[in-house]
Amino acid sequence: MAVPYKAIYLFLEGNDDITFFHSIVKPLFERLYDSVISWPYRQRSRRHIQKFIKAIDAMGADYVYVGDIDSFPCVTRKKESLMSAQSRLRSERIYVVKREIEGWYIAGASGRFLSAIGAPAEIGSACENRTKEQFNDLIPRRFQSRIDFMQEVLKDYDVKLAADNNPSFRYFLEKNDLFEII
Amino acid sequence: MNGKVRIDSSEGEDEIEHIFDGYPMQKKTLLLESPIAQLYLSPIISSLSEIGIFDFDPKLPKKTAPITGVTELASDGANLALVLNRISTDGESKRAFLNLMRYMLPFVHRMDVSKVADKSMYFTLRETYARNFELPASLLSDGTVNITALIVALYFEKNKLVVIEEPERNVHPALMSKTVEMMKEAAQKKQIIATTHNPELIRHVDLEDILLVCRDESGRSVVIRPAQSEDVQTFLENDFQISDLFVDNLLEV
Repeated sequence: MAVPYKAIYLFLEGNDDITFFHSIVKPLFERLYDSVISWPYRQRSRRHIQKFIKAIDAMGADYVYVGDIDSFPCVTRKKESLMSAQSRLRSERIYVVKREIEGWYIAGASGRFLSAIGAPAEIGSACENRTKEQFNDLIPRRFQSRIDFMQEVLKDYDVKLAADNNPSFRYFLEKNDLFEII
Repeated sequence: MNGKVRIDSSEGEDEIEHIFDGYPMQKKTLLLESPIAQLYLSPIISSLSEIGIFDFDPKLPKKTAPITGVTELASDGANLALVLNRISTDGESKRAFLNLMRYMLPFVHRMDVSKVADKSMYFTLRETYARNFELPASLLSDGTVNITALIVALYFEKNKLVVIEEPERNVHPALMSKTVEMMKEAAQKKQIIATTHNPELIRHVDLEDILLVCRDESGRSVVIRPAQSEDVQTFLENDFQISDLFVDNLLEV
């Protein structure tokens, strides 16, 4: 019997998410799926997102919808907010990043990298409440560009360390059967 | 013209006469390069030298560039290889350049500059798909060349004001968001002005950053800020995108 073709769509919010997923998460998904397609949703209308989910459901593909927790007090509230805007979204396909994607970046930064930028080694372990502004404060002056710095973080990234340091990232990996293959 | 300001003295002589006070001027003189201008207009000339105006022609950087040229990026990007050679000589600049290239085009592995008979040079890229195979600029896509020139103009030139004509030219729509992201980041250190007619680029720009140039009833060009229009705000609150309004000529309502 032929093995069915498996595809997964990754709904991602902004460019920092896209860069992170392309570099770290997509290669993991590619070991489980024939096709992994990322789709940025931030500048899309509600109607457009709705149509996209409908099409994915119709083709029988999987999807994950990833968003920052922002100012919501908990994951449940964030999910409720997303689902009230997008009635087709299924709760179990939503993954909430705590607090922002920068937390997932710094969670996997190697000790060697943190030492090179003069950051304390324990900074990765307290990353779930780290904000964008706190992350920006870590960027040494020699980096003229935040984009450059974020690319540099991903060059020496430890996925296992990231899973240990950031519970929301670990949850994402576990729920998508990625934790066992890292 | 070629990034310089030219005033044709064949017309409007009366207007410029008081500035140059009878100084003999030939037709088509480049006023700002005349000795008299250096004397009286040096603050203006100094300010103008801090402006970079770029209208890249991707066909030109694909050719070799003479080694003896200036190492500031030319307005059409023709000397891109020379500028990349300057960037390559500094390890930190080259590292940052490659990271920015990979942000836009993740498959870029490395960049090199090669000399041709010690008289000219061209740049090459290697891709992750074939790391041992060097792609000369002449074989690169127009979009790749345009992105390369854009990164140089935004991050590696010293201009305090950068004007870019259609930065998204030849670039895939899926890269518009990152193009805007880079312009926003570079704008933290210098003023960036970009012109465009591309709705996909406009989709990713903040409404507050858009200046719309349109005609008034008498045909004159006027600049308006769509962010100040209550009607535009109402459209956006009702699930319209900025790009929808641009395409339908509704940003000027």
